[in-house]
Amino acid sequence: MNMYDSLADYAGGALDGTPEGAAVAARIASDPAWRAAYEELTGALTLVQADLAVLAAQPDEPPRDFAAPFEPPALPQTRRKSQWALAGGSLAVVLLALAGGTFLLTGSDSSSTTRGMSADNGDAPAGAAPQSYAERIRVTASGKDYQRGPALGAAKSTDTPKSTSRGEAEEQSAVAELSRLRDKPALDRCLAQVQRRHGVVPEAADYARFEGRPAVILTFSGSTGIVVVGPSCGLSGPDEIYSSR
Amino acid sequence: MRSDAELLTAHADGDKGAFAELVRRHQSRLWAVALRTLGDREEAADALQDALLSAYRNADKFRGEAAVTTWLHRIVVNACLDRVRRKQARPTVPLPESGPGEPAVDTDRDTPMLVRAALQELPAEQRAALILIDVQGFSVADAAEVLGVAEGTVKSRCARGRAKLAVLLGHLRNPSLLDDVS
Repeated sequence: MNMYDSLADYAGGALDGTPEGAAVAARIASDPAWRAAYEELTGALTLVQADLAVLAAQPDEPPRDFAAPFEPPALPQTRRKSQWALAGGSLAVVLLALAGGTFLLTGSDSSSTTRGMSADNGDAPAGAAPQSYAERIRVTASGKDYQRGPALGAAKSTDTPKSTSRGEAEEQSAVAELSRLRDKPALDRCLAQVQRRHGVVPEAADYARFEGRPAVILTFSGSTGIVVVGPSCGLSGPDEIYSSR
Repeated sequence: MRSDAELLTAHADGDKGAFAELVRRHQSRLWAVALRTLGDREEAADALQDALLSAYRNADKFRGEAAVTTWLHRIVVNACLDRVRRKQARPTVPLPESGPGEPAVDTDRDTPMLVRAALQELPAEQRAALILIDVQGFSVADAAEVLGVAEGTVKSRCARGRAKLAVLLGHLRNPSLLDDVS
């Protein structure tokens, strides 16, 4: 142990009642250089503790409610078909409603697969793991290419899809590029970032494309808009591509 | 109002809202520990989330030998230290180098930033001990319980951490005095 550590330990009470503590005390008492060094250090330590007290007084509120994932579901959970599947060929209408009428997202293909990362078969048994964000969300992997579109009225009048069909292979490719987000912890981190930015957890996710780019289309309960995130969602932020919220 | 121990027991017995209530009660302090230990908000949020999930799953292993808050803090600190060790985290805010001709630092306003940055320069174990005791106000005994080490070890980590901070924060008026002894 070097002298500085010895003096630090002594000043911090770590040597109280030990032979080494007694030796350091004796050295401070008998050696002017040690005494000066000790006084120098203790004066500085007083300032350090004052600095730490300033830090302690700084408010650091949590960025989100960490208790939320452990709350029991607000509504009884029943097995439901995905909104995409219910929408069938009129996916645009469903998406329009979710987007709050601000923008239209249209999909070119109604084929939809609910793969259910979620345990949507009711409440988890007591003592089981809580539903993480990823477990709560309904997941589909349509591979569709979504596009920004006009508002609801205009969309109805034109009734023209804004995207083109890319074929099954390309849809699979889109989903493959999002493979990282098929890992539940990765999706959980992504959804946490979205929740942090928007204050609410999405209700459904579609692994697809947005204007040609691999993207996850996130929708929320209560028709509160749409968020589109890219493959890096959760790595250093939500990787948000588009939001109508 | 149910005590922490009652909430944890209720959770282990299947009360679905008990754990959330427990987390909501303590999340501000747990967040502060995670943030100050890791020095990065996103890392801290991930660590805290992981720690709470671990606590949720392992509630039945709580034996009541320590306070529930101590147990929760232990899990959070361990999650943070695991992340530090895995990623060998580097300081997120470099300490400013002050010298002649450089603008003076507004120390009143910048002290928290400087202290946060200096804390990140410390070895993680010293940092965790200092945060628990000097920032979060834990007793040495409680901090020892959280960190799973002897009280003397906690005192030593704090003492050496403070001594390093004294250097990092420029509080030694005459550092040569410390070079003159051997």
